[in-house]
Amino acid sequence: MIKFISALLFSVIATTASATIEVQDEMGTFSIEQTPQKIVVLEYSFIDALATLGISPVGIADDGKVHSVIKQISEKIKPWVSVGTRSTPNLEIIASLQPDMIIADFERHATIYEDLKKIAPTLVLKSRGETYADNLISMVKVGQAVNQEQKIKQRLAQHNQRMDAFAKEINSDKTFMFSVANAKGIWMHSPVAYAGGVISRLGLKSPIPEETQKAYISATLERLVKANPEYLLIGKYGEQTIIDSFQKNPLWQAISSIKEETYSETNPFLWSKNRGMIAAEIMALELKSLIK
Amino acid sequence: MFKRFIPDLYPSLYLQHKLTLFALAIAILCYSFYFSIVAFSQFSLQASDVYQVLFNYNANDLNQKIIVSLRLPRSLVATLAGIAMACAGLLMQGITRNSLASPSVFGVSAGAAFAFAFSSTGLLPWLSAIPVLFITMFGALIAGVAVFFLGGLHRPQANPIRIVLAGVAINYLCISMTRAAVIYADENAYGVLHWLIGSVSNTQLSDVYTMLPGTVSGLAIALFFSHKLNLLHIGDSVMNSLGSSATSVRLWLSIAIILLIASAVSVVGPIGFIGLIIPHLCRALIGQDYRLLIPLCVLYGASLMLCADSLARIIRFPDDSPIGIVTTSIGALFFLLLALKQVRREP
Repeated sequence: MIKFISALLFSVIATTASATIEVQDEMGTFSIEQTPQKIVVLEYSFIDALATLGISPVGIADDGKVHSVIKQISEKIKPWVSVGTRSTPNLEIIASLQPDMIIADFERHATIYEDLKKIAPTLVLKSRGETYADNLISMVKVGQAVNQEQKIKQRLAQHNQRMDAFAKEINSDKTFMFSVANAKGIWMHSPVAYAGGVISRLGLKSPIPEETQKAYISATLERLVKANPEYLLIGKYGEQTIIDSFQKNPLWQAISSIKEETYSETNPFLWSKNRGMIAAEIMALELKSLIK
Repeated sequence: MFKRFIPDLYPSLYLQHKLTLFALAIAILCYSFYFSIVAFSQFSLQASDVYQVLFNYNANDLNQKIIVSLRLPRSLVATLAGIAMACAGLLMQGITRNSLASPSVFGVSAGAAFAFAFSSTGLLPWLSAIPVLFITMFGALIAGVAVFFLGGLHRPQANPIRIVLAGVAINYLCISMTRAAVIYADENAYGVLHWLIGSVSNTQLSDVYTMLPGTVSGLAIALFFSHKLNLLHIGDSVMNSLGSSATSVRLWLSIAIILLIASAVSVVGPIGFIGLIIPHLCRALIGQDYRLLIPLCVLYGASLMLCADSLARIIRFPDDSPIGIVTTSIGALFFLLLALKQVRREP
């Protein structure tokens, strides 16, 4: 009897240890034989999920810029190897790291999926152009893939509580818009963009609620004046941006946010790239301090 | 046939024909300009707003403010870019004696585009501190000078084929380097690509002042050498035998091309096909005389750019589309028509 129970227990343990993890991803069903230890991520949003779970990715497609990963996240993980840009990650560097798993973005990396799969099992999730809700779903999937589903779900519940608390504290009916600007243009983040989703989660209104198809809308000053946000937050890429020339135009003063001095600038890497629960909570904290 | 005999047999009728063409071109330009000022806006801009701006400007009226601060500079930039592109294309065709030559043959647009894309990568941080305008002008100048010497334009009896080959080589070199730069400029890639297609969105009055010196001086050089261009069209040897230096004319006209293209590209990006379509169209209307061709190209080039800008606004209204999408589509259609015409001519 004892022998039988021991054999049964052993077989259960053995089955559990070698149980294949399966996750539904953008390419179908992702499966991995054992819990991955060495992970390479090809988009910033996946770092947030791993850092939340206390996992340090061995390689990150960080565009060769360490500062692209916000301090609050980079502090939680160990130093990583840059595997190139997000648009063209270096497959040789990825292979040299001998990862157990790669997490890739559907929009950017679907075309190199087969090549990535030859290096390691590849989990393909939405990242570029994802909504806030998409991001939370992806986070749970990352948790499932690293065999920490319970932990990520607990964190998600905690995140929801925190966001509810922020929404209660902010409690404003003003219109709020985040946009990014570079030397040649400005892009408004619509309610379906990640930043737009966080803003709406906190109960704030978008000045362009009708824009439900496109996440990023290329804007002219005329379009910005028409949108007329009561709060305008800009993330600048580079020293010189189109905002410099807008500020010289008399119409800039016609925007409510400029008139009411509620215009401010922020870190575009936080608001536009490092999407995830950690980032969303920092964004909420920034919003709380901005709203008068 | 008509163009060949009318001047000799009926000089007054010929003059009337030319005057009609110019009057028509001026009328089209005026209407295109007005249309681009009021059309396709989320603010309902009316003719009465334009009237108020002209005769009773009220700085507190939002519609009038939009016309003065945004629409007018935008239309002026489109006008100047159209003038510069069309005139540069005509000059290119004149000095290479190749009717399919366009500003891209000189690699000037591609040089400017590469300079801008490279500065956006941030690989050289000090480059980001230099205004975009100077960067693009520098790129255009380097590419133009390279083609000038590689194409042998500094030598007497320049070979048009060599010029075209040098231009195409520099053009492709710049295009391939631009693509590489776009990959490196990942976080700015969308903005760089948007600019590379060509756009007049977000242009300001300062852009008009930026474009004005290059466009006016380039146009002045072109008009000054318009008679010499007629001689150059016949051949280098004929021109040299008449006491004019073909090399010197080519040098001056190359300077004019670089000035025209650099001033346009630095503000609106490398807009294609205007420099190819307009000279063809004007040549079909008025003949080969460059003294008339240059002013006619100026009028129709500006009109086409203004119409293309209005069309670019309606494609995804209220979002702006890059004007380059419209000019490229018109250019492709134009090429198809040209090819069909050639097929029909052949027995």
